[in-house]
Parts: sequence; structure tokens; C-alpha cells
Amino acid sequence: MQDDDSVETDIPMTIEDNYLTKLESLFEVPVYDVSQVEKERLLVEVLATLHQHHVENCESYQRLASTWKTDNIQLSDIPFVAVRLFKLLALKSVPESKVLKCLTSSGTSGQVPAKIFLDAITSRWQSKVLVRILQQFLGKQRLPMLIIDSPGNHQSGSRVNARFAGIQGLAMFGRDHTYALNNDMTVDWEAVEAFCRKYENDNVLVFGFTFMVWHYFIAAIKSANRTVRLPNAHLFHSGGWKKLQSQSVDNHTFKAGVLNLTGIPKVTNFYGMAEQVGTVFMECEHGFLHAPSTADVVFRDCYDFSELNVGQTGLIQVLSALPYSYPGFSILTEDLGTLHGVDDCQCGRKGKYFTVESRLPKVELRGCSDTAAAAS
Amino acid sequence: MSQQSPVQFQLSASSTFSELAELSPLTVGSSEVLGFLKKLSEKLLRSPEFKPFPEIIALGFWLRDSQVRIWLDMLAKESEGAIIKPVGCVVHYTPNNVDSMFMYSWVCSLLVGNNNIVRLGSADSQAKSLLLEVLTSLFKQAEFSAIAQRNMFIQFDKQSSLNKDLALFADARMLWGGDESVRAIREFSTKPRCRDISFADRYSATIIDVDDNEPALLDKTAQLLWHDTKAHNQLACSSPRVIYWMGSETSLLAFSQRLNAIAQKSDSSEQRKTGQSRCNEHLVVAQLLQMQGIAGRSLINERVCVLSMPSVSAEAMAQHSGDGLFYAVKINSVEALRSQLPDSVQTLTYWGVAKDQLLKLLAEPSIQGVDRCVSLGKALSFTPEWDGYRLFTLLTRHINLD
Repeated sequence: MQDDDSVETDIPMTIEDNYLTKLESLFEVPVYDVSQVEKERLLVEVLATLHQHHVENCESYQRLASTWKTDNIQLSDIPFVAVRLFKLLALKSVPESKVLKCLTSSGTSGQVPAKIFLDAITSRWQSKVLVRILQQFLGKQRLPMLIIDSPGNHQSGSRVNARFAGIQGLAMFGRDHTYALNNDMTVDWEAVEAFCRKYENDNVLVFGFTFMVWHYFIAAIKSANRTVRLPNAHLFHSGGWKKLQSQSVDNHTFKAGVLNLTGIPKVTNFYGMAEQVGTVFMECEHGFLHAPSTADVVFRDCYDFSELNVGQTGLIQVLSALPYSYPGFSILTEDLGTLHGVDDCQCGRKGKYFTVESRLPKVELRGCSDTAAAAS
Repeated sequence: MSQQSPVQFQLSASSTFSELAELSPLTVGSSEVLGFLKKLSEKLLRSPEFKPFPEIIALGFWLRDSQVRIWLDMLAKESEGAIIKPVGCVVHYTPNNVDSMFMYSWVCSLLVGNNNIVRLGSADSQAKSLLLEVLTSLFKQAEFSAIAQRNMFIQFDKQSSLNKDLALFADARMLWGGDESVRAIREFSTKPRCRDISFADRYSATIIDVDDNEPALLDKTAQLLWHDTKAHNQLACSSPRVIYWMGSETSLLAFSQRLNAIAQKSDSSEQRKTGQSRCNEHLVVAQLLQMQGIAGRSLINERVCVLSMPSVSAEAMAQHSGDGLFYAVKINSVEALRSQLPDSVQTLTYWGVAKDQLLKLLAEPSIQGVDRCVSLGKALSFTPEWDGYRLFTLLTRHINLD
């Protein structure tokens, strides 16, 4: 390879360079317009490089995964880390000095929060990729934005609450950010009404977490007997259906309720998690979630983790090209979902499309220790 | 019991603790009690409604008349030359993980004549309700009125002040439920001479030496181990959680696969459904311990999870979540267990290992654990000598005459 003129090219490429080069070329690929086969080929290369990086730079990951095979593999051969480990351990693959912020998410209520360490590389790419994905739905223009949340303080020092990070991520697409809720989670009617008046005839962006949108906004509008009119709005929401399932609110009910009480005609759900910020799975016009070029999903049998086929329901493994500062590029979630097809969704998007059904039910086994008597 | 009823369930011909405690106890092995136990055993073994509950059938068999008489003979021999009497009123705090445990605890005390107050765990199960129904019907019969007056089954809120009252009536307490429960219950002061028989958090292990060239034997071994494990989702203290394997890695792998197949087959379709999250729970434990450098590789994670590790640590045991999870440690000789049996080990089951070697090992003064050593398949068989205690002796007073 070396010709006489080159003097510098024999400096070996670092893993970081190698990773970034591969990630750049993956990023060049259209978000939804590349076939599954071609996408897997590119994605697996990035993921194998990430694996090597984490083995070399994260001792915990190295103990777990150093024997994992990464040559000549398919996407579904890539092993996974159980999502709960990010709650149980502080996993990072860059030196402390490179950590910019730590994202914390409580996940299920009352549990230990997950701790996700972000460096400059990972947080920059999270933003880049998120922008790229959302632009497919929103265009490039910044729209007036109504946030169905409270403006309260979600950040202390370099620790960032995942809820706030989610809002921040979406806020990049908006202007004139208006919070619809007060800090006590009641609706700030004055702010909402002013926003609706001001942008009556404009396209606007509305964002909130699924449960909060339903519980603190839609239900509150209903019980207050008020009307909110946002006929040109597009609502994006995420965060899971777990809390709404007990109220029998599914995607369909949700959309109908939103339209009925706010007039918002376009509602887009997306699936994502604090452990893989940036790679979101957006819902299409036909109600299916789609994997972007930089990420993918594999569905696994709950009883032995074998890969499932189209039409089957199982645990969702999420794979993302972005996690460099922490070993979270392949995570087994505790969500149950169904793979509906590959490359052939009616919406025209390529790759895998799926739905998320529920959380893996938590079975409490009875330990012997709760005999009795809390001394009072 | 006058407060705004913290009591969810109560069965007794006495209405208060004091009414019950003031009655003089029956005698050791009284004819009333023998008659009662005989009737109880017959009911449990013969009523078709108990067929689907192997733990109830096992209980019925356990307290069959011939067995009860053997225990009484044993006790008589042990206390030759002394008079044995009940201690008085025994309070039982029974565990939640094993539905029928309250019965074993109670029967041991009833047989030696004590009055009993049995505080039931908060968990409800069909087996438990069925057992309480049987007791309710027997307590109504005139011939058992003396027993109905002297015994009470009660379920009340954990926080209730009844705990405090209850402590005052106890001449002995059977405290099941692990370290924390035992500590909490002991906060309530008792009579100065009250005897506490406490059952702490403990785990059990098995040592297996089997020739993997004999598939039938491997199969039998896996069957027996699964028998000791499946009931109570491996959460009974005596169910083995650790396998000490005398053999090669290959033979351990073959055994793990056999065990998995047997376990899979033993599940009903309903049981399979409720086990949906098991594999993930085991994955979390396995990966956590692997990341911490405590565990090695996972030999299988399907219906059972077999996780190899160089030795067992308290950290590993603290993460054990039951439901078919085995920590496998390879050893070359029985001797290797010398450093692996801390006082938190309750039962050591064995298979293919010479008894004299085990005897030699367990006699070592440095080994603080192991209060039961039984062959594989018998881990769950309750005996009145349990967890290092001789229950009949502890629940009686021995009066010496010179």
C-alpha cells in the first residue's frame, strides 16, 4: 500500500478513528431507504468495532463479553447486555475526564435509576442522528413548540434526568418553547390558550411523554370541560404504554382522544430509551415502528432468547451504532414486541417494522423473609 | 383484639390470646392429639380435592399415625429417666415461601402437648386455604374441642400491635422467615424464660459425583435434583442452589442440558406462561456476576440457568433469585468443600459420594455450616430435627428425678 511519497500513513488507525469512519459512512445511508440486508452489513461492522472498543476500555464489559465472537456474524448473532445492568452498575468505556454528563432514568417507578455516561462523541452523535431521523417527519424548519411538561428543574450538576434530556432533544426542532404544565402538573391554561391563539393558523410541534400527555393534559382538558384547538399541530410522544394499559388506553384510543379534545390531527408515537438516546423508532402512518439505518431490533423468545420470525412476539433487543462512551450498543430490553415485517411496510420505508406490546410481566416470587412483624 | 380489626383470619375456640394461654396444656403425645393427627392425615391423603397439591399429600403422609408413633418412641428413648412436659404456649411466626410450612411447625409443637398460636404469613394460596378449611372443620368436632381451645391460627397486619401482645404469652417461639423477620420479631419483649427457635437466612447445596458415561444415571440424578428444586420455586431454604460437581466441564454441561430438559417437561402450560420473565431474571443475575468477575460462563439459560463459578461467595448468594438458578462449582474431591461450607449452609444433599468421606468432612471443627446431610431427592423432607435443632426437645421441659 505504501508508495514512496507517503510518510505518515503507517500510523495505525485508532479504534476511535476506525469507529468514526464506519459510523460516518453508515450515516450517509438514507434513514429509511436501504434494504435490510445492506443495512445489516454496514451496521454489523460498526457494532463489531464498538464491541472491540468496549472490551478494551470497560473492564466489566470485558469480563462479560471478551469471548463473544464478532467475525463473520450476522446482526442476530450479536449478544446483548440486559438493560437492568445499567441500573445495577456504573458502566462506562471512556475515562472519567471525558464524561460530559450522566443521564439518569428511573425507568420503572421506584427503582434504582439507570446511569448512562456520555462523552463528547456519543452526545454529539446522539443529536446528529436524532435530528436526521426527526427531519424525515418534521422537515427542516423550526416550528413553534408546545411541550406537555412542566418547566421544572430536571438537572443537577452534570447529572441529567432522562425526561429532561428527551425534552431537550426534541426542543432542537422547535422555537418559542411553551410549557403546558405547571410544576404541580396542573395545566397552565393561560400559557396554553395564548399559544393556541398565537399559532392558530401555523404548523406547530407538540411533544410530551405518552402518560403525561394523556393523564395531565388530555384527561385534564376533559375534566375541566375546556377546549383546546390545535388543528395544525403534530404531536410526538414517547415513553411507553405501561401506565396507560391499566386504564385500557391503547394507541387507537389515544389518538382518538387527542383529536377529540385538542383537534390535533397528526400523532406520532416513537419508541426509545434512556439507554440508547438518539436512536428512536418512529411510528409510520400505518401504526408501525420503524428501525432507522443507524439502529435495529431483534426479537427474542422469552424462554430461550432464540431469534423470532415475523409475526411472533418476544423480547426486544435494540442495537444502535451510537453508544461509544458506555457499552450499550446491544441491549436486551424488558419490553415485549412483535415483528411485523421486513422491507415491505405499506408506508414504503425499508427495514424492520414492529409494534411494542407491553413490559415483560414482573413475577414476584415469595421469599421466606416477609414472615411478619415490622417492629414499630 | 379489640382494635379496629387488623385481623384478617382467625381460627380457634378461644377468642383471645390470654384465654388460650391460660388453659393448661395437654400432655406429650396425648390421645386427643394422636386421634386428631390421625384424622387429619387421613383427610389430607384421601380427599380428592387435594390430589392436585403434592405438598398437601406430602404433609398427609408425613404425619401418618405410624410415623407419629415412631417420633414419640424416639422422644421417650431420648428422655429416659426424666419426665417430659410441654413448655406451655408456643407462638409460631411462619414463613411465606412454603405454603404448608406452618403445619409442620405447628404439628411438631402440638404433638408434645403445647398450646399454640400460629401467626400465618400474609401470602394467600390455594393450598393454604384448603389446609385452613380442613382445620376449621376438625376444630368444630366435639372430640377435638380441647385442641380447638388450645390452638389458634391467626393472620393480621404486619404493623399490628398484636405482635407485641403475642410476645407476652409465649413460652417458646418458632421464628421462621429469615434474618430480618427474626430480628424484627425479637424486638418485642417476651417473658424472660421464653425460648426462641430462630430460622435464619440460609441456603443449601448439593454435591454430585456421577459418571457421565451412564446416561440413565445422569438422568436419574437430574430428576432427583429437580424434585428438590421445583417445589416452592427453589425458595425453600433446603432446596439446593449450589451444585458442587465432581467431574469435567463437559459432563457438567451434559448434566445441565438433561436437567433443563427434565425441568421443561415438568411444567404445565400454565406454569410455562407464568415463567415468562424467568430467563431474563436469570440473565440479569448471570451478567451482573460475570461483570463483577464473580461468575464464569453460563452453561445454559432456558428453563434452568446453570452458572459456573470458581467458588461461592456471599455476594453471589445475595443475588440468587431462585426459580431454577444453579451456581455450579467444579471440585476435585470432597476435601475441597472444607473451605466452602460457611454457617449459612443449611442442607447438603449428596449423590454418588461415599458417606464416610462426607462424615469425615462434616466432623471437621472448622466447618460451621451444614445441619442436615441427606441424599439427593430428600432435600424438602421435613423432619423434627431441622436446621440443627431437635424440635421435640426444644419444645418440651425435661424434669429430672434422681
